[in-house]
Amino acid sequence: MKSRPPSGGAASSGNDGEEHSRRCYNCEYWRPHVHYPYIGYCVLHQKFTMDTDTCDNWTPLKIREGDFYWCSTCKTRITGEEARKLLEKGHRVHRGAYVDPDVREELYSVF
Amino acid sequence: MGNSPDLLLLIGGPQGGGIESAGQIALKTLILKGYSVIGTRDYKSNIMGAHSYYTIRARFDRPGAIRFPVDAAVALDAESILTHFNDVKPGGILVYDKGSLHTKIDAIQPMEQALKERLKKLFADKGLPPIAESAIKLAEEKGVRLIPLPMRQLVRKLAEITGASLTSVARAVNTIGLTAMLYLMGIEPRCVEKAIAAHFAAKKKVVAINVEASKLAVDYVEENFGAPSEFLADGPHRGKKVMLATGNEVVAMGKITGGLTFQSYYPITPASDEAIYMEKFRYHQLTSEAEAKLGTPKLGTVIVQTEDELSAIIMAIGAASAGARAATSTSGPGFALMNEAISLAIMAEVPVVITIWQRGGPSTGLPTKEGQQDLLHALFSGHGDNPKIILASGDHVEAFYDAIKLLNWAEKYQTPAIHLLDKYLASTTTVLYQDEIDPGKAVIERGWRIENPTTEKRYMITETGISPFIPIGGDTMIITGLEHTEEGFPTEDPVLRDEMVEKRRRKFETIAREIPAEEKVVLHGDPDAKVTLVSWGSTKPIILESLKILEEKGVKANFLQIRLFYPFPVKEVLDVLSRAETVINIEQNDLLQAAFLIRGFTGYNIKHHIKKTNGRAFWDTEIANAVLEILETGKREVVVKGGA
Repeated sequence: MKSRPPSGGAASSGNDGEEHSRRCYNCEYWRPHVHYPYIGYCVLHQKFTMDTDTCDNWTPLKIREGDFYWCSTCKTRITGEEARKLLEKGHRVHRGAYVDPDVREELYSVF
Repeated sequence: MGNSPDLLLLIGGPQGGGIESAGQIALKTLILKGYSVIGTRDYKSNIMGAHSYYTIRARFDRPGAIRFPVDAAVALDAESILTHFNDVKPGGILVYDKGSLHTKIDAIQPMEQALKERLKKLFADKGLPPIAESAIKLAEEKGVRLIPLPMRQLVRKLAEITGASLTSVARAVNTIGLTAMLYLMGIEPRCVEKAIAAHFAAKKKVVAINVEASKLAVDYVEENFGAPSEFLADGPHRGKKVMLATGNEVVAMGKITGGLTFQSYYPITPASDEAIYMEKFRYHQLTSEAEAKLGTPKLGTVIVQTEDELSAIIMAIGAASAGARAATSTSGPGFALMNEAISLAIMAEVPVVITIWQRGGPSTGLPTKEGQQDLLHALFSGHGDNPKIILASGDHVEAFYDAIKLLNWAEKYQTPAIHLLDKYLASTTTVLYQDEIDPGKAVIERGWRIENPTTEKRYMITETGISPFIPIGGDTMIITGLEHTEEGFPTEDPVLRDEMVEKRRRKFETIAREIPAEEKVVLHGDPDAKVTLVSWGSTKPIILESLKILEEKGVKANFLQIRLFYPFPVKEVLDVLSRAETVINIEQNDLLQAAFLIRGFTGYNIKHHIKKTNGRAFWDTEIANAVLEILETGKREVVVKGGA
C-alpha cells in the first residue's frame, strides 16, 4: 500500500474541523489507536498510518445492526445501531480499535 | 537554601498514555540538574483511557508538598486541557496538543459528568462554546503563556526521522510535550536526554525514539516560540548518588531489610505495588547480623497472592505461627475482610504485621484517591478485647524504618502490629539521599523464642505478659482461637480466663512502657510556640512546609505528629497539648478520627479542625491559609477542597 497525504474532498471528517473523504479514518480496514486516534492500524496492509492518509484500496465502513464498532470520539465500544446515530452526530466510528500491547507498562494496578 | 527556584509542574493525559513515564523522566531530569524532587501520580480507577496526571515539585531542598497552581503544565489531550487550564499560574506555561482544541466537552466519554456540567456553565456564562479551545482562551485571558504543539505533524515527522512505526513514535508524544515544557522552564535538553536514557535504559530503540522526540520538541519550540532567555542555575545535588522511590517501594525495602520471610496479599489499590515490587527481591543476601539472627545467609521471602484477603491474613498467621517473619498488605476494604482473623492473631498471640494503605472510603469509595479514614477501623478491628500495636508513618524514611520496627515489635510482643499508611505516600515518589535509607541501621529483634522447647508453656503467665514463642510444627502443635491454658489447651475455667485476660493486658502495659517516647510522638518546631498543629500520617511533610509559610506570615506554630496510636501515648500527647494556647487538628477524614481518640484517651478536647475529604492530598498553602483563618475568626472547622 502507498499511503498518500490528503488530496482534498468534501465530506466532514468528524470533530477536527478538517474536510476529508476516502481517508483511513473512515475506511473499513482501519483501527485507530485507543489513545492517539490520529494514528491507526490498517488490517488490510498490516501497517500503521495517519488518520488522514488514504490509498487505492479504501473501502467505506459498512454499518450492520448486529455488529459492534469502536467510537474513537467517545472512546467506547458501540453497537451498529449506536454507530449510525453517532456518525450522524459527526463522531468517528470504526470497525474496531488498536490496543497498543505496551500500554500495560503505563497502567497502574487498580483493584 | 537561598536563590532556589521552586518549580511546580504537571503532566496530564490519558491513563496508559505515557503519563507515568513522563513523570519519572521529569523527576530524573530535575535530579540530573541537581534539584531535590517529589512527584505524585493521580489516576482514576477505570484502568485505561481516563484522565491521569503527574505533579512534580523541585527545588534545592527537598519539597514536602505538592500544591496548585503550577508553573507549567503539559496537556496531552482535550480532557487534560479542560481539567487543568485553570491550574496554571498567570505567567505560567501551558503546553498542549493543538489538534485537541475542537473537541467538544460532551464528546469526552471518560470525563466526569459533574465536571462537564461545571465547565459548560462556565463557558456559557462567558459566551464561549463547550469545546477545549474555550479553556485555552480563558487561560490566555489569565496571562498563561500558550504553547500549542501540532502533535500529529510532529509524530509523523518523528516517524520519518527515526524510521520507526507510527505507533512506536506515538508513545513519544509525552516526551515531546514534556521536553517543550522543561526547555521553556529553563532546563537544558541534555538533562532530558540523559534522563530518557536512564529511564529506558534496557530499551535502546525506545531511548533513540524518545531522544529524537526531545530534539524535535526543542527545534519546534525554538522555531515557533523562541529559546528560553537563560537556563536555570544547577542545584546543589548535581552528581550526588540518590534513590527515587515511592512509599510502596520503601515499605517493601524495609520489610525485606527487616528479615521478612513471608508476605501474603490479595491485590488492592493502593497496596498491591508494595508486594509486586517485593517480588523482584524475593531472593536476597542478608547482612551478617540478620544472618546470625535468622540462621541463613540467603533469604527467600515467600510472596503469595492469595484468593482473598481473609486467606491472606490467615496464611500470614499460619506462617508466623510456624516461625516465619510474616506480614500481609492491604487497604481499607481488604482490611475489613481480615477482621475475623485479627482476633485470632490476638488470642493466639501470633506476631503478624498488617500494612494498611488507606484510601478514600467507605466501601470501595475512591479506590485510587487519598484518605485517612481507617484509623478507627484499625484500632477497633476484630472482636472481643483486641489490642494491637498501631503505628502511622509520616514520610518515606519513617515508613522504611517503621516497617522494620513493626516486624520487631510484632515478634517481641507476639501480637498483630498494624502499619498505617495511605495512598498519597504510596504513590508519591521522592528523592532519598544515600544515608537516609541505610540497611546497616536495621536491627532485627525476634524476642523470646524457643526453637527447641524446654517448656510446653507457650502461653506462660509472666510479669511482663510476654510468653516464650514456640513455633508450631515441633514439640508444640496447638494454636487456637479459644481461651486457653498456659499450654494452649482450650479452657473455660473462670480463674484461668481472668489470668489470661490480665496477662494479655499486662503485655500491652509492657509495650507502652518499652516503646521509646520518640517513637510515639514527635514535636516538630519550637516547643514554646503558642499554636500547635496536631496530625498523623502522610500529612507530616506537608504540615512542615505549612509551618514555614506560617512563619513568613508571622505565626509561630509547632506540629505534634502522633505516630503510635496503640498503646496510645497519653502522657506524651497531653504534655504538648497542655502547653499550647491554640490547638488545631488536621486530618483527611470527616469524623476527625484522631481528635476522637485524643479526646477518648486523654480527655483533651481539641476545639479547632482542618479537614480534607475530597480524595486529594492537602496542599501546604491550604493548611497555612486554614490555620490563619482559624486564628483570625476562631472557627471550629475549616474544610479545604483543592484538587483536580
